[in-house]
Amino acid sequence: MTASDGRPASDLAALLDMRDVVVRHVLEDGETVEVSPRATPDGVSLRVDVGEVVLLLGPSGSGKSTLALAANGLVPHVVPARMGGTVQVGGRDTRTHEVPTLSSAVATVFQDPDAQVVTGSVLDEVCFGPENLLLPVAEIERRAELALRQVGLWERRAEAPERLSGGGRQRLAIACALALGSPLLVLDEPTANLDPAGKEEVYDVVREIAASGRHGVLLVEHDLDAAADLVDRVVVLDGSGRQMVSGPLRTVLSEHIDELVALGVWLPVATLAAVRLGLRDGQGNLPVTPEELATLLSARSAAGRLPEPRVDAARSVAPGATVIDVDGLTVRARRRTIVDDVSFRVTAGELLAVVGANGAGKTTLLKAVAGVTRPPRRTVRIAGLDPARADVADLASRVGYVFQNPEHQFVTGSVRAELRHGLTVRGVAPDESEVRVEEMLERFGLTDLAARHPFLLSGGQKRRLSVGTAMICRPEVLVLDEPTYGQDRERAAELLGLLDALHSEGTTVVLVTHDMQVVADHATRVIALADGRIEADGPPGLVLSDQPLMRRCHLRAPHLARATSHLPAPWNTVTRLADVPLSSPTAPQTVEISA
Amino acid sequence: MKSVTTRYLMTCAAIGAAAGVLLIPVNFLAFAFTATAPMLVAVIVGFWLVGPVTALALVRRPGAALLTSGVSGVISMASPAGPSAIVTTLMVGAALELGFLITFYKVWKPWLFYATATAFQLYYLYTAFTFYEMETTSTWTQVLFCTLMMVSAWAAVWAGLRLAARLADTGVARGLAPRRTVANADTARADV
Amino acid sequence: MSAATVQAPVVAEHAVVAAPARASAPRRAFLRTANPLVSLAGPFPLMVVVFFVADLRVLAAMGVATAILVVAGTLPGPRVSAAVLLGAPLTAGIVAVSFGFWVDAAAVASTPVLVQAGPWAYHAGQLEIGLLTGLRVVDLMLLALLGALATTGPDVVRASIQHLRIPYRLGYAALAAVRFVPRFGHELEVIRSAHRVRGVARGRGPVAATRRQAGYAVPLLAGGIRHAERVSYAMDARAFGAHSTRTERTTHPWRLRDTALVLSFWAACVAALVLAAGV
Ligand SMILES: Nc1ncnc2c1ncn2[C@@H]1O[C@H](COP(=O)(O)OP(=O)(O)OP(=O)(O)O)[C@@H](O)[C@H]1O
Ligand SMILES: Nc1ncnc2c1ncn2[C@@H]1O[C@H](COP(=O)(O)OP(=O)(O)OP(=O)(O)O)[C@@H](O)[C@H]1O
Ligand SMILES: [Mg+2]
Ligand SMILES: [Mg+2]
Repeated sequence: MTASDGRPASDLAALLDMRDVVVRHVLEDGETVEVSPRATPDGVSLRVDVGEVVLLLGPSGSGKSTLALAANGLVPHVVPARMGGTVQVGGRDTRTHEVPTLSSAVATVFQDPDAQVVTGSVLDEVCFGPENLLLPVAEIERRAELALRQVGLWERRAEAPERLSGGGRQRLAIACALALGSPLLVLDEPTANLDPAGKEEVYDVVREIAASGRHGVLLVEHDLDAAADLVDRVVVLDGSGRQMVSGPLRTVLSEHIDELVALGVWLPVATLAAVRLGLRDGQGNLPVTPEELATLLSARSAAGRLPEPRVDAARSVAPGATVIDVDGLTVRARRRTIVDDVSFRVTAGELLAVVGANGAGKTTLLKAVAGVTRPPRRTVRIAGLDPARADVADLASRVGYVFQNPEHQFVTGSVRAELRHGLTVRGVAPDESEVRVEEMLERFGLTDLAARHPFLLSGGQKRRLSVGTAMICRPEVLVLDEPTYGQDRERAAELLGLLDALHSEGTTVVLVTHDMQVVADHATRVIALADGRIEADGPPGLVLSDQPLMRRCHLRAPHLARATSHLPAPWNTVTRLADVPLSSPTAPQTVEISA
Repeated sequence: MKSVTTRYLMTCAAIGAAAGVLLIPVNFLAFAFTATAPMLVAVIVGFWLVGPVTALALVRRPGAALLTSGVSGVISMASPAGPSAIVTTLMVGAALELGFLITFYKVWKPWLFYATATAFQLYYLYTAFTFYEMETTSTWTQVLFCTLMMVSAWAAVWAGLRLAARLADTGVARGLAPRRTVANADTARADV
Repeated sequence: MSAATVQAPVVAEHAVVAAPARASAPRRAFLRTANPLVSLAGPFPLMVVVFFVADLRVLAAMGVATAILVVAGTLPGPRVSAAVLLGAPLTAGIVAVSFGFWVDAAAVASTPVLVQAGPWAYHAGQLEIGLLTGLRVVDLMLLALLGALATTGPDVVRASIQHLRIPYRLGYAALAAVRFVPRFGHELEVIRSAHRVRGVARGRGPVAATRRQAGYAVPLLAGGIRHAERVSYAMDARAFGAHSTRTERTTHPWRLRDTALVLSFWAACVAALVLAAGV
């Protein structure tokens, strides 16, 4: 195949035109190979024109990423899968054009910023694409500069990409896509690994690009609150990958809210809150951004028609015995201080959230506290042990740790063995461990997959298994690093519900998350880290509403707080979805699951 | 070149990178051993085989061993061996390919891995004999040296094959190997 | 930071984009500033020659010349220079003596005895054969070191793509692999601690240790291959492989000087062989 056929995408052709796209992955299990009986996606048609941002919404495993890969030809050319239907980018059929030659028409930004770095400097990275297109050096450098300036990285062109923050690297990936000169941008969860500030940086850039009128964007995103204001249209896939509805975001949300809630996809917090309140604007539309919700709430409040928020007294924790005592903990790695003189105490039954920017040292802190890496002596006591000296088995039976990347902690060849492993190591009798394994499989919906290799599970399933392996040993303290990452709303809610239940049974839970709404909704206490130091430590209501502090820590207020902060008391302290009163007993029952 | 996907290249590159990282200390060891106890060099020669054997057994495509060892050579240049590391690893990779080349890349049975490694090791023994003037050493030294070298190679092949099998279980090589015929492919295409 | 405050594209004043600084080798280190392929094409034939020369004086001369070249050609700094200049003869001596032990004493029984301890004797002939190996080892090490100090893996790869017609896709796979290395290090650390807390292959001794290490290999490689797969998709999506060549912004030109350097290495090969045969 020759290179790009040189034909500029006709103004009339859509940037992306998908018709009845059906994809079946090729599955391989040992020596047997078969085509998946389940199609994901299953018959999706969509179109992206210049100047448009189209959002792809659907529960985990519905085929959004697969569809994104179909948009640039990786499906079916490289990813082992069978594809039906047609995909045209800039008027070219992806089936008859190879992936590299399509890249002048479509550029893709993937989820993991690390997995997109090929070269050793920011500038080389942006030039990589145009170099492959055989452009002359002067043109390459012109495009590189333009793209880097557009994402605000020109001044840092000589640095190694690893030196950029997560948000910076994702902006770099966008610059790389821009430098290719392709009018269509496909973004697959571009901010999933990012702290709130990084997320904002990325969406500021995407907003600019969309407004330039030269590009069209196909976006996959869980965090609708971050992206809602720039989305023009939405295409919703159901759990089995079929196209459920499509249309302008506001219309779809307003007209199909119950179905969407039932589907378990993430929805804007503002929308969910409005549903609880039975709040719609003059045209009967639901708000999609915190700002719109704020406007509606203010109007209601001014009219004196806003009901009192619910206040949940049960959430204040009675001081119990100290379970975690950290005193002057400092962690250094490669001559850098990553955790800097941190001290705090956690009492039994608290649900502590640790928040902070990418690289603030959250993971490093929790690992040292849980004894996953050995802290200096006498700086940490957890569940009555000093992890610096305690026997690993003792420690592990009292403290459960769930790693940021679940794959790191899988040590056996099947789901069942993985759950049984911890019990065997602890000498639990085989009969009892069988019972507990079965119970856990059931609880996490993994019974059908018990014989599967853990690496062959979906992201969400892997995450649940890793939580299960920690929980099955019934630890006193459970430490989780970003447990809801990559989960759809239903799964995340299920997991958080589980944590809430454990917590109310008396287990002390510590978790790291970038989702401030999760913190607001579930934590009894927050610690905010910046550069390895504790910047704030207190109840979520207090910490999350301190704007200057949040900015300093690269954090943002929970989306609900952004809508309520300007209201009169007591509404100005409402940050939890559960505190928003249900307006009528009939309509919003569907929203019982919190975000 | 066109038929070779980037995914295949990068998979071999990843295995090569891991093997290369392993080879850096091994290169240091090799230098130390050659200088003090050459008998021990025979023990570590197997390390050069693990990477290419794993790659070949995992992806089962022509060139995998050569590519993997080439990459591991580039990585292990960061050792006293310098650019000569590439020459060494490429030699090992090419030798491993030979056994599969003469069977037209149709046979992927373990015995072929062992046979190829054995043949290569015999050749290597011959060069080692010249280099170390082995003819001048006592018979038991020679026997010991040969035995160690063979055992080291077989152990490496065993480890490589086992590693490849376990990696295949994790599903990372899905769709890379062309050998396996896709069951119900036609029906799937028909109803798509 | 609101880095996303997008500046209007300005082009004029920065029309020429500075290439990122290359490894800053001292100017006069003529082997480092030479084309990276020189340190492959030059020393390698000499390394082969070492196998076939069995003359102590020629081997010694090669060693001395290479040691000087290492120091003068790559200017590695005082510490490494000292290590090379002192270490080389020392190593040769150690290998000579230790290797002598392996030599079959019966074959050299006629040569004078150097050390006698009871029934056991160390003959001059043993030392002589040992010295042969010792010099070979040192020569080989020095030649390898020459390349190691003169250039880096990525430079050799880039130069090979330019001058040896290595398909660029192969070369770039190797270049991308270089970036996996620090990642592997980090992953290994995490996997090790994860396995520790999950109580895998606990216990002491070499057997448990080996099993532990082997247990790390699968998750490490599986993670690495997954990562590689994602990187490959990102590369494909950025037109990697669209054409049979690609534009290279940084070049490693082949100058007359490089030809001269390689030819002098080759001349040294011939000289060594002739001298060795002539004696
Ligand atoms: N390489 C693959 N091989 C086999 N099956 C796959 C592969 N990639 C995805 N699948 C399966 O295809 C289905 C759709 O996956 P996809 O990643 O497109 O979902 P998604 O909508 O992006 O989900 P998420 O929100 O979790 O990212 C899932 O059931 C998944 O298990
Ligand atoms: N072993 C190590 N050696 C060197 N640097 C390290 C090591 N571990 C972590 N770091 C660095 O320390 C900093 C904090 O890392 P950490 O993983 O704790 O951050 P985090 O708050 O969990 O970030 P994220 O939100 O991205 O997960 C980072 O800059 C990281 O690169
Ligand atoms: Mg996805
Ligand atoms: Mg972290």
